[in-house]
Amino acid sequence: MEQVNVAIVGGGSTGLMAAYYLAKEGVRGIHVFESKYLGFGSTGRCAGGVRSSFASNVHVTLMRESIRNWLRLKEEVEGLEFIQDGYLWLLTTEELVELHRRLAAYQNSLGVPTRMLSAEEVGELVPLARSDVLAALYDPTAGKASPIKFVWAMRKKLMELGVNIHEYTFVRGIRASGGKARSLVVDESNEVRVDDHVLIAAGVWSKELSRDLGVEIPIKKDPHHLLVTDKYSPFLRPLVIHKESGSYVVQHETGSILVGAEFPVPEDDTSLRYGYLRKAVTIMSRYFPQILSAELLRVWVGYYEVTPDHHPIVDVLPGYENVLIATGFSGHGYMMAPIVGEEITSMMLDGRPKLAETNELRLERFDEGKLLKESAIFG
Amino acid sequence: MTKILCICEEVTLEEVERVVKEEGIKDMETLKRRLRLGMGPCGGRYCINTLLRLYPQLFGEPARNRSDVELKVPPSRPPTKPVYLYIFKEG
Repeated sequence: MEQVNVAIVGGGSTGLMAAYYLAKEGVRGIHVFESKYLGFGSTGRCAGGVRSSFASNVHVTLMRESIRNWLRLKEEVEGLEFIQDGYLWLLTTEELVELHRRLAAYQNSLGVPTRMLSAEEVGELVPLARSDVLAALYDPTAGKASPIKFVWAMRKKLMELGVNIHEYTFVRGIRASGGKARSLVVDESNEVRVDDHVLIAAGVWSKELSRDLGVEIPIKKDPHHLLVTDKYSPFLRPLVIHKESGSYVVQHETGSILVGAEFPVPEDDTSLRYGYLRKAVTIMSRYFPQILSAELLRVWVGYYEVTPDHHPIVDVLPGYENVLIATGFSGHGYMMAPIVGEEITSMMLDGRPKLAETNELRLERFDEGKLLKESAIFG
Repeated sequence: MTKILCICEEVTLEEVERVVKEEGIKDMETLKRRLRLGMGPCGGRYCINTLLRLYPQLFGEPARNRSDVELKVPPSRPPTKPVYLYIFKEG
């Protein structure tokens, strides 16, 4: 391989989705470069939740469109799963209940049919043990999509569409001149000429690649733990979040149960912490004691790539007209990938995204101090 | 006769041979994720070692005297054996 038309750096959900929508538009010569196996980074380590119940116009709108794409992808890509079982936000204080009442109204105004449920209605939806739940916000359009199934379904589909996937191929740098990327330096010193576009979609590792081109991306690594149990018969359909603590539990179609918890650790510390296990199990078992008799199979750590305003960067890299960047998803990259992949395709082919909201994800907002707010509506 | 390679995830030898041949899978790490080999409750105790013995016939390369990293043997994630979640519960 000496020449490519479109080079996608990063074989995670963002890169794979961009490759898919580009290929569907008839673009040839698409090459995806992944330094390990597909989904090695944040994609393969995430819980697989997909929701549009956010608190900013940009997030709600992009996720509303992303869910439309998830539903289409399920029809278009054999083996890709999206189970629309909803998200349930358990609310345990009066303040949270009031906040989510307003949030539901806001989400409704943007076309997302979330609604408040009483404690009794929550009990009808999930086998809840704890009585301190005052109410819940229910997002019926949300769902879950196994990342491992996603990766392999997309790998197969992309190969059928003629996309070239290079696993275990490390992109060392991007060479540019005259305001354009001209080639990639791959593995030891192979040079691959790029005729059209480069997409940097390398999650936390996007920072080094753009720094190489003299552009600083304000993303930080934020390691998060996750655990998975053996498979059990279904007891929990929606993904359930205990809003007060940020802990969550989801049971996938296979029967495996995943439990997450907020457990802050230093940026480069990916060691496994008992404290996370204690917190995750202690909090979620109050509501679902069923999980206590489940057997833990694995614990791991994956990165969120967090920006100062917790919104992603989807932009042309300043100073390089043919380099695009999509990173900084702050824990939501997998769920957003279907809309981001489609928007990247529009940006490459038409010079602009389809949605006005995508324009708000430009990199300059950080320098201009125009940060997006996740709860802007609450003033 | 059907040969089961991974009991937990019910993966047969035929299936392994098929994906290696048809989907261009060239390493154990990818194979694990493609077929969930070693991702069940045994934690790969049985299937990963069997897979290593079959390495030369599957991938057409020798496996002897090569490191786990070179062979892309999937890392073992803790715990080694399944444990009940209740042991982590406080209070």
